Amino acid sequence: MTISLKNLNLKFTGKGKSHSLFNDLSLEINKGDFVCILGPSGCGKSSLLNIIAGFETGYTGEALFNNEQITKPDIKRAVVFQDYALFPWLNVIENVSFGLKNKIKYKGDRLLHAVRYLELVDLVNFAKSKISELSGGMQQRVAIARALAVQPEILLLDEPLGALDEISRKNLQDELIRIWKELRQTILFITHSVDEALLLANRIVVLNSNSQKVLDEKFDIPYPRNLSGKECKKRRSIIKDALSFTKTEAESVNSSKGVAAFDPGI
Amino acid sequence: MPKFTRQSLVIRILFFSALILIWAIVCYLQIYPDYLLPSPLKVIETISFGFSDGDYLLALSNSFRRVLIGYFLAVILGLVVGLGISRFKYLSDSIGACLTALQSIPSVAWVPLALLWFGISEAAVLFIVILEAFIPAALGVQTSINNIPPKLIQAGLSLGCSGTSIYKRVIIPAILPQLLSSMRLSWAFAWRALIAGELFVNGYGLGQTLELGRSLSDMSQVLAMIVIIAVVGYLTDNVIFKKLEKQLNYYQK
Repeated sequence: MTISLKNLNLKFTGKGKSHSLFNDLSLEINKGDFVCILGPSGCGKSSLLNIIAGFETGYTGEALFNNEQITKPDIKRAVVFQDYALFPWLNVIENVSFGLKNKIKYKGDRLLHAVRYLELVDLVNFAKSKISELSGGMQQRVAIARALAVQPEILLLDEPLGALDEISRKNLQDELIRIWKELRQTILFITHSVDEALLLANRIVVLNSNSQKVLDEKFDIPYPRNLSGKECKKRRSIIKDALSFTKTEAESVNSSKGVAAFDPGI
Repeated sequence: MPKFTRQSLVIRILFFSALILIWAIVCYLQIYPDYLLPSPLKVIETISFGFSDGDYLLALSNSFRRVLIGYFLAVILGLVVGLGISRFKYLSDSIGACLTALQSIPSVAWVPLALLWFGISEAAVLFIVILEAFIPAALGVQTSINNIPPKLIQAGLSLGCSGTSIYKRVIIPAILPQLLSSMRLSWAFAWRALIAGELFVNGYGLGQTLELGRSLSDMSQVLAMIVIIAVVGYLTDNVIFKKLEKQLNYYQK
């Protein structure tokens, strides 16, 4: 599994003015990575996820999944949304087995398969519950189980814990770490919280407010991590510095690397 | 929506009784002559006589047959048009824009044309019913599809739905509750259009019976029909549609 972005740009035209995101962003994601894309709101991190998921196809440059251009959604790239996006007309286990329709022929087998993933997120007892009966944290666990059940090559999470309370967020963070360790699932996780990235990721990519990549580093320290420990503190200050990186600085860095920051359009 | 409790039932009954009581008192005081405003007792008498005679039952079943056929065709047409205008922009720009204009035309306005085209026949009534009832269905399908959270469709697509199976597995189930509300509106429109059409057309139905009452200056028959139309409308709406709506409300516990 590889995702490879090269010279990526995304233009928006709205309300008469257009602006462009990413400024020739390049990024590789490899099997087993737990990447956090970190950045302030409006920096385009969700758009980046939408491109990789196949929802946003108006980009220029390269976005390759296993060496093929991404043009539409694919079951190999499962998505977990911030507002869960569960199907309210289906119960918990039907939601989890939704994506298995084309993979497993018989309904009974699909449900059996789904139960395993409900076990993984500790919701077996709620298999028959309606979605509206569950708390936000439980709904997000269902959404994670639904995405994992199709055994995707990469799991894309778009600020999945943003709408949750403190305790559910903490529990789900632990659960994600456990799932990553257990399944060696490649994960791309979008967040605006520096601490969340520090707790979860084994690689942190930082986009600044101009949607330029200003940091991309391995972060291999063992779990569970202590946010007030020396390692995390050191990283946090590096990330904060990177986040305050302004556009002019980024441009000068780019041009010093010989990368054109301005495309004359020839 | 506020809950329907035993208390609201009591209030409802008391209110209707009070209305009828006021009506009875006005009649008793003979403010208006009897042929202009018949008393409630007279109307009840007319209704019970009409039913025991078999006349009203025939009128009711004839009208029901017409409205059911018209409604059924209108809903199918509405679904097709609604799916079309929500799927293709050029259709919503053309047909969709006409629908809102069409909706503002009361069904009676079509009667002269319908009579010319279809003759004084059942087909003319059906035409009016379909024309009136398919519009809320079509517009309902369009708005409910536009109201589906885009994330639900994205979730469906990334979980392996194709362009057609997304309709079957996500879009249709997602719009069902809202769709039912527009079916309900559609039914109300069909019912009104039916009576309007029947006033001008031969064939024994509720509208014709009402019109007969008018030409015979039998206001108790006119009021009897109005009561029957109201009661049937109320019952179908409150019994059938409310139950269905409750069953389809995924979002409530």
